[in-house]
Amino acid sequence: MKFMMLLLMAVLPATSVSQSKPGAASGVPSIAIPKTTAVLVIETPRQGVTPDQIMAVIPEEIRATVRLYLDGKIREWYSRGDGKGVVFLVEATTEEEARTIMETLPLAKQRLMDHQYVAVGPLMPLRALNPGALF
Amino acid sequence: MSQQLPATPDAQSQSGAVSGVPGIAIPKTTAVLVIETPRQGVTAQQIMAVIPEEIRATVKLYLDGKIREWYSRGDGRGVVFLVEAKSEDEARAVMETLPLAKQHLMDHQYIPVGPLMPLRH
Repeated sequence: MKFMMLLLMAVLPATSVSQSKPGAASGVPSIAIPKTTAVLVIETPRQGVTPDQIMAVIPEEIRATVRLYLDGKIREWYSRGDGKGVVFLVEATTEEEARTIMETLPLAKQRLMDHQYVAVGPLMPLRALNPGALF
Repeated sequence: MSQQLPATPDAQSQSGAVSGVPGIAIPKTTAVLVIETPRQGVTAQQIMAVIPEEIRATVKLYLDGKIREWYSRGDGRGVVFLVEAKSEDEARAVMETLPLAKQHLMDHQYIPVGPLMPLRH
């Protein structure tokens, strides 16, 4: 296993600092970029929005969100423990696709929320657990 | 980091009240999302040097039941974990046992999460 790790490291090309290669400038090797299988969405109220404004829309928001879940668009959903909003794991293969889904929801339509999108996929370093398959 | 959330004023003591989220919407924390990205200036080589140890340590945490989910980012900027913890501090204690963190190569953003409270309606 250790030999395989060393071999893996030895055959990797030296880091390119070209900005055109995604991940290269930020320190993450490009072989570590997965296929996107879901998109994390971190949703918080916009600056200045009040709880009353949100509560007025909540019944509709719940219905629409549950509908998305039943349509297979939402894998997971959470409220934040610090009270700052909600988090969804959306079934989408791009940030664009996730954005399209989220923008159908009432709170988003009324521009009450900020959205942060993080596309995610399989944890690529785990390929080192598969000694026969280096690449 | 550009992906940091905008700061909410911390003058108010009631968590959630200023940010627009009703107080009843705050759940018990059942897990903590951790968004981990390389620090500014850290190179891929610095990270790769630690990766074999990082993988072993991360898999050990998973087998110990500390990690519920793990992902690489689709934009290549790092990794995301869903850590089994009841507070940000607990999650931080777990993450700081990992080699990349110990070598100060990574930035961590912690978001405690719990059940989606609006569903109680």
